Parts: sequence; structure tokens; C-alpha cells
Amino acid sequence: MSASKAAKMFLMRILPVKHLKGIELIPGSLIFFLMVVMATAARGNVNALFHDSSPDNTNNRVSVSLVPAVAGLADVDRQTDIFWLGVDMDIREGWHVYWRNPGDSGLPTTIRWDEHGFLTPGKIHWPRPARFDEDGITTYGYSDRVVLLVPVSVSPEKHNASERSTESNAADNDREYALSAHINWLVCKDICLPESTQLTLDVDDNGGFSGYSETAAGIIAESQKLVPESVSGWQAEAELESGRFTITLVPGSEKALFPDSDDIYFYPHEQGIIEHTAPQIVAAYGDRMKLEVEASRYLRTTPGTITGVLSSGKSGKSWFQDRSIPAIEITMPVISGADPE
Amino acid sequence: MKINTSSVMILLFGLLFTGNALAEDRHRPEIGKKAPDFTLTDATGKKHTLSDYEDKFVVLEWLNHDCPFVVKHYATGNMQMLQEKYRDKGVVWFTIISSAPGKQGYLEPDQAKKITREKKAKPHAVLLDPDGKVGRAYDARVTPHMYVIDPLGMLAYMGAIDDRPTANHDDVKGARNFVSEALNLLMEGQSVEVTTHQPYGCTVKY
Repeated sequence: MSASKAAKMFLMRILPVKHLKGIELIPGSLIFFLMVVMATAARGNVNALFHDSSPDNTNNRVSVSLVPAVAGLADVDRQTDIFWLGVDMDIREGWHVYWRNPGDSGLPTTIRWDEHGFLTPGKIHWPRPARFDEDGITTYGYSDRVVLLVPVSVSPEKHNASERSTESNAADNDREYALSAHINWLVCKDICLPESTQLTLDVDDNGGFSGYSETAAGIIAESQKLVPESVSGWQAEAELESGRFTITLVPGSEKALFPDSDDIYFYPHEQGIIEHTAPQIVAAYGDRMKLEVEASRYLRTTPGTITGVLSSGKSGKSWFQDRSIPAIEITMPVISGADPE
Repeated sequence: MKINTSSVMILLFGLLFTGNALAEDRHRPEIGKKAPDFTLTDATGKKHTLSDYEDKFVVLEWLNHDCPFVVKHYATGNMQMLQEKYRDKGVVWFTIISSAPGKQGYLEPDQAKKITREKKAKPHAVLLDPDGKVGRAYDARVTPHMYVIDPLGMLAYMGAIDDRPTANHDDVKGARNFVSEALNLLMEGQSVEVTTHQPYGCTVKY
């Protein structure tokens, strides 16, 4: 007999029977749910319960909008010819979407852009994620709201020609000036649903962007604070021994500061590096910090380097004395050649 | 209701005891080691014991028919194709449902039969594991989570079905399928190159 079984039998012996009955009572809502399941199943329609197959996205659990950081072409930085476009995801309560590495389940949000005459979007800059416990496994992502950031470069010729030709055909304008994004994401609570939308950033005849408002710059700036910075002020290396990684972190500049947080966590960029569900043990040793975590059971060869995000977690404390940087992006060499097994 | 301290203490002790036992029970299946044995009832009411199938290759596939990652492999016919292809080569393919009653993917035997028929799935049997015991013994975390067991009963592969962790139907074509790769290599008398790979999918709804 297993120990847990023994414990349960022990409990049964000491608890009056009516208590046990109380424990086993099925809540009314569950009975109702099961009735719905059975009624629907009787019509041969089990899929309809879980699948929202309507093509429009008004039933989506996430509503998405595009938010440009500037009002129009005229306000784009002339040094870089780049402006930031926020992909503002408003997530229904209780649900979440995923980071670039979703962890043990889930899918990262993807954006496919239609080709455009003079606007070229870059890769997504991801704000630091949070952790979610889903049925005992760990995933990385966002709840409530997240603003993914995409740098969009403006071709310099277009930028310089701020005065538009008045002769241009309106139909051509529409095709040329609307930047289309096809956005796909997986949203999960107790179940997961793939959702998608198509959005456009319109550019009017004066070069003005759609979706801009006075709050736009603030929204973008807030999100930028949460995007982990690749910084030079920290030195890190990882050692792999007996199936465990030990990451050693040394401040490389006077301004580098260990955040005063009991929620420091390393989020690897890739799956299959660490056990996402394993606890991460953080301890200070003099001027250095060590973070220990179990290597992924799926790790087959020792990686040359590991890249990921070190976050100060819920505390939001900074990794620098003079700047507010709650998460840093680090790439570190793996110094031991020992295999995980 | 009167609660006396000693019964609360006993209850707490009991919970503590149960918690520890669960932690100890949580062992993981290992490649090259004996695959955990089990007996489960299939959708038609027939019992199947893994050890009865020694001398055959066995594939375990964890199913939640409404999970988008599972839908990817069934809507494209990929899973059915694999089931049929390897059934013809003598492989015993078990599809296992570990969803708890009331949770996504849970099916009564008749529903399981119906869905298997509708999807034209070709497993040897659809096994029902509503209490999740077998799922937990295999540390099955997602759907589809895949396992390949060799004719000696040893675990030869566990993890993702392929190398494209998406729900996009277009990604089936051209993917590196680790299950068929493992089976093919083993049938040729070679050793499996990729024995584990980070699985992807929906969480198993225990």
C-alpha cells in the first residue's frame, strides 16, 4: 500500500462519514456543466462547446490595438528613422498569453506583416514575463495587459519627402499606406484557444498615423521600461554539473546593484534549457550572486551559451543604482562540459 | 460545529503525510529503463495491460481532442496517418485520455468511440484514464505527449511529436517527427538519435 493511500485510509477512519460525504458533494455548477456536456454530446456536437469557430474576432478573449509612439511621419526621429509601434493586448481577466519562450505549454504571440512601400517592422521586443502555474507545470507570459513593442523603420527617402504628391491616386494610397499586421496568439485559462486578428496602421495624406493619441507616448514608454535591456554592467557565466545549472552573476560596473528582491528569476529565451517548473535557488556569496536551477530533462548536449532574462520579479527593483531596469537580458557562456545525466 | 484541536492536528498531520507521499510518488520515467506498467480499460470496455504487449513496439499518445495542438495533428490527418502506418508494421498504438471528468478532453466511453470513428483515427485502442494515474506515472504533461516503448518494454522515446511547437496546421508538413524517426531507427536495429525532446501542447487536464 502506498503511503498516500495509507494516509487517506487513516483519515477515513478518524473522520465521521458525513464529513466525507460533504467532501464528495459535487457542486451544482459542475452538475449543470455536465448536463450541458451530455446534452450537447447527444446532439453530436462536443466540439461546439470548446470551439469558437466564428470568423470574426468580436468574441476574442484578447482585444488588440496598434499604438504608434508618434503622431506621424513628421515626428519620426531623423537620426534613426525608426519609431516604436505598440501592440497593445488587453487580456480578459483570468486568461493569459505567452512570452517568446512559453515554458512547458503555450505558444508565443506571432505577428506577420504584409510588405509595405516604406515601413519595415522589426522583431518583437518582449516586456519581461510573469510565471503561471498551469495544472502543475510552469509557463511564461502575460495577464491583464501587455504592450509588445515593434521598431518600425521608415525608408529615408520617404521620410525626407514629407510633402506628398497631390496627384497620387487614392486607391494606390490605401494599398501603399496601410501597414497590415496579422497577429496570432494562444490564450489560456483552464483551456487554450488560438485567436487572431488583422490590424492596420493607416498613414493619411499628411503622414499622420492611425491609433495615435496623447496617451500613446506614455503607453510605449511604460512598456519600454519593462523590456529587458541588454546591458554591459553585469557579467554572468553558467556551469552545468550533475544536471544542474549554476549561474554566477558578478556586477561589472559601480552602478550595477543586486536588486533587493526575493523573487529573482531567470527566464531562458529557449525551451529545453532549464526545468521551468523547478525552483530557482538564489543566494549571495560576497560580491557575487549564484542562481541554481535544474537543467531540462530534454537537454541533450551542453549549450555553448545561454541567453535569457533576469528579472527582479514582483518587487520591480532595479539592477542598477542610477536607472530603473527591473529586468536585464544576459548571454552567458556555459563553462562546464559535463552532460546533464 | 465543534472542532477540537487534536482532530485538527491529526488532520494536518494526515495532509502533511499525503503531501510527502505525493512528492515521493512523483518519479519520472527514464529513457532506457522499463516503462511503467499499467492496466486501463479502453472505450469498448476491454482491459489492456502494457506488459501483455512485450515483444511489440508500443506508442503512447496523450489525447485531448479539443486542444488546438492536437487538432493540428488530427485535422491534417497526420496522427491518423502515423497510427495506420505503424499499425501495419505491427506497432501497438494506445491513445490515452487523462482528462478528469468535467474538464476539457474528458470523454465517456461512447463519446470516445464516436470521436475516434469521426476522426477516422486508427489506434489499437483508446484508453480511458479519468483519474490520471497512468498520465502521472508517465509524467505526461501536455497533449500530445508521445512515448515509444521497445519490444523489451524499455522506454525509447518521450516528448514532443515533432520539432514544430505550434498549433499551425501548415507546420505538419516538413516537420521532423520524432516518433516515426524513433520507430524507424529501432526497426532497422539502430539506436534512437533523439530520445527526448521538450514536449509541446495543452496541459493535461488532470
